Amino acid sequence: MSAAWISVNGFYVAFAAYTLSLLLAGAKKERASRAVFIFGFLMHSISQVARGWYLGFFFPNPMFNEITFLPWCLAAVGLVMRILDRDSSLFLQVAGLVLIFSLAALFAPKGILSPFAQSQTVLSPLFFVFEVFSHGCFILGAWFALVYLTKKTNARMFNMLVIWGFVLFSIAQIVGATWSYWGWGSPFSWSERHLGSAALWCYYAAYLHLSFVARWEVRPRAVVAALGAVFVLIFAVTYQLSEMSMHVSQ
Amino acid sequence: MGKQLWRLLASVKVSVYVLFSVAFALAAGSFYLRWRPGAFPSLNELTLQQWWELHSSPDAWWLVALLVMLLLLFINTSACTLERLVALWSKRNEYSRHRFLVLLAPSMMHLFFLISLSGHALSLVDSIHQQVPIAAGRQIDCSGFSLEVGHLEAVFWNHPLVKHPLRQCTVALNIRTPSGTVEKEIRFLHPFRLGDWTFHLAANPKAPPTASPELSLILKKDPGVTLVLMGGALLALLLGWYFLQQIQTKKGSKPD
Repeated sequence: MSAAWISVNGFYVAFAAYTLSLLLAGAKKERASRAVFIFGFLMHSISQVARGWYLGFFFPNPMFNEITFLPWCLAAVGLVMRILDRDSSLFLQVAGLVLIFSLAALFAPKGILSPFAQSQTVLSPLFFVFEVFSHGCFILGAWFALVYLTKKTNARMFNMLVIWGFVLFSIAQIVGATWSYWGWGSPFSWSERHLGSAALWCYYAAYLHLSFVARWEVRPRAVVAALGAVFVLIFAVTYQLSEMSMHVSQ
Repeated sequence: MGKQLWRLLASVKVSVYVLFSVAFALAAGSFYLRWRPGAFPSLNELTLQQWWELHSSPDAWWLVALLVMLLLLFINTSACTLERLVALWSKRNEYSRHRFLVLLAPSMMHLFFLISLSGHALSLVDSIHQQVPIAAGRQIDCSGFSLEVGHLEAVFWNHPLVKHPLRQCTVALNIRTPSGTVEKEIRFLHPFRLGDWTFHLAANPKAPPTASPELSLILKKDPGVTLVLMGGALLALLLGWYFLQQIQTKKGSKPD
């Protein structure tokens, strides 16, 4: 049983568990739903860790590849929210998002991004951890903003998620800039990737400042937070998919 | 008139619109670099002035918009920060030391942002970038020094699934400057500095696994890099600290 086998099949089991968890929730069996979700999360964690040994030697970056790590981050944030906030409906909504992004991961190219000379630094996996976690917060923030726009509940939730997404994204940017400087001689490069990240940072910086502007009440801010997910998906997730389709090792 | 202009310059509403415009220009740039890159990647090797002389075209509209908006953002952020700092300083005795530091944090973040932005501007207009292919025994002449490539030792991943097998490489360099000769070793991710220059090792990732990989030396003279990294790091750290303080303040103010 190889690490590659564990990583692929562990993810399938996790996906099945996430699906079953939502079905149980639909049947009003909340405790069973939560237990199955946690089992799915554990299998997903094992799958992610196994990706680190996919090539037969340890290379941490594949553990934090956006395609499968993003649903893991969403699930982790969901579990933390469940512990901090006893509202089970919130947890259910997060579980729904985890399922959607896990489904997308099932259709993404299999395998991992191959290592290269400049990826041999701790800054590289660290950058991806912060970046993908921040994307998770932005996407969850967008989801709860949509919920607020339709049901007028949990106004604080989407704002907090976007704020912490911005903090994590800012840390990712400086870690990435240092990595880029060590590896390629410049902290910023005129490339699709760097410009997209800078665009995202400025968009959310503008969002943060909206609360200081008159007439930008919660509702229009929720619209901006919800639209943010579109940018995250365009700049981050599609970039990862195109990288995976070009440089994947199966 | 003067007061009205200052109020406009120091307005958060203006900050928001300018930030959205910068985001839009950057997003447009990102799309151009993906779908119609043209000469834009050479911005990494030339100063803005050199690039503009050689490659300006109608496609560069987003670059012009970006630079104008960033200038506006710099002015607006400076004005907002100055106004807030003056107001805060006059009331400093009304707060405890901790509360004052928390209130001061956003202004400091904006200050670090300005420092980082200045670094980017310096890099854009005043940096030198040279990338030269290297091989054992090769001589390279540069302004102010010359160097000779000594021995070269490469390590590869030996796994069929690894697409870019070059793992690490150590290159010995003999650098002759007006003040003497310096011997240095360079590796991937281990740049070194000599005077105003930094030296970085790069490789063609698509090169086949051979004993002599396709290597190049990146020689950079970038006066903005320290400002970019220091300003950015301090901004990110302070941002995290500030929002943690906000959570603690909210927890503390909750009724039992």
